[in-house]
Amino acid sequence: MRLADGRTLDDDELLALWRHGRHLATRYCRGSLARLRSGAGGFYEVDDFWQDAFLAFCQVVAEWQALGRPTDDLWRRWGLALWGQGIHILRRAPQRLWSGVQSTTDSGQAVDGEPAVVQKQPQRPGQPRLTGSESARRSAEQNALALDRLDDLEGRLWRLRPLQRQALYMAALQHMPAAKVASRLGLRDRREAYRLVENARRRLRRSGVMPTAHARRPRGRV
Amino acid sequence: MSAVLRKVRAIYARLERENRRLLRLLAQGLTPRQAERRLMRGQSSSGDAKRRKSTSRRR
Repeated sequence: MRLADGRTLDDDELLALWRHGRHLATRYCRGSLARLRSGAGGFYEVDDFWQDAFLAFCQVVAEWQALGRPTDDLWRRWGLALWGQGIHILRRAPQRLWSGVQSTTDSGQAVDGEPAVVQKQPQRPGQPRLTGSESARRSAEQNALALDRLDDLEGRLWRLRPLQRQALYMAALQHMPAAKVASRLGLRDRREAYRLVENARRRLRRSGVMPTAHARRPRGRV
Repeated sequence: MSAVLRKVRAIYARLERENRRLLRLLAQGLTPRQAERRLMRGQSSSGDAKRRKSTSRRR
């Protein structure tokens, strides 16, 4: 990530910022996280949310750095990006979760000017309380699993044709409409962009990376 | 978590690099197919180089 003064923000600096960014996201998106934890996101789980939130945070940091503003401005921008319990992240392709902002409110928090949250979920009956070392072991296992999944995803992405991969990247991660993807990639028309993205999705789906069912997509988006 | 995030960022950066390379080739006047072939050639030649390096290391 390149800064306004030409210096590149290294991973450690970014991760140090992310620690606070994640803390804010945990507070602002508590309701969404609880819903994801209870399985309301289907294939889209809490880990997926954190990965998408991190990418969104990287974008916010890049914009903030380019303007050379003080750190307070970063947290203001990040707060705005998380508006509505992180609904901007949840609505993105391919997950496209929850068409409206959650209506669950906590009046005490809302009065303080903070985003609305749902109450902390009670521990499920029969669910054992984890000790510190058990929790650390489970977290390490989850990390190893997530890394394996990401390795797998990377391998499968790089088995796609470059145009398919880039059409998918521009549509799903850069949120470009099909017509813009087509014009950037020198394609005949947006139908060709649709076709490339659809083929990429189909190939990833066949290989188990993409979900088999999709929510309705907004018009003009691929 | 940070190892996972580093990996996410690495994949994202790899896609972004390829995107810039593809758009640069298209700006040079190549057709999408030609640009794609050029990218694939670049990928396979870098793969060959890696394979050659690992083979020589084994020897």
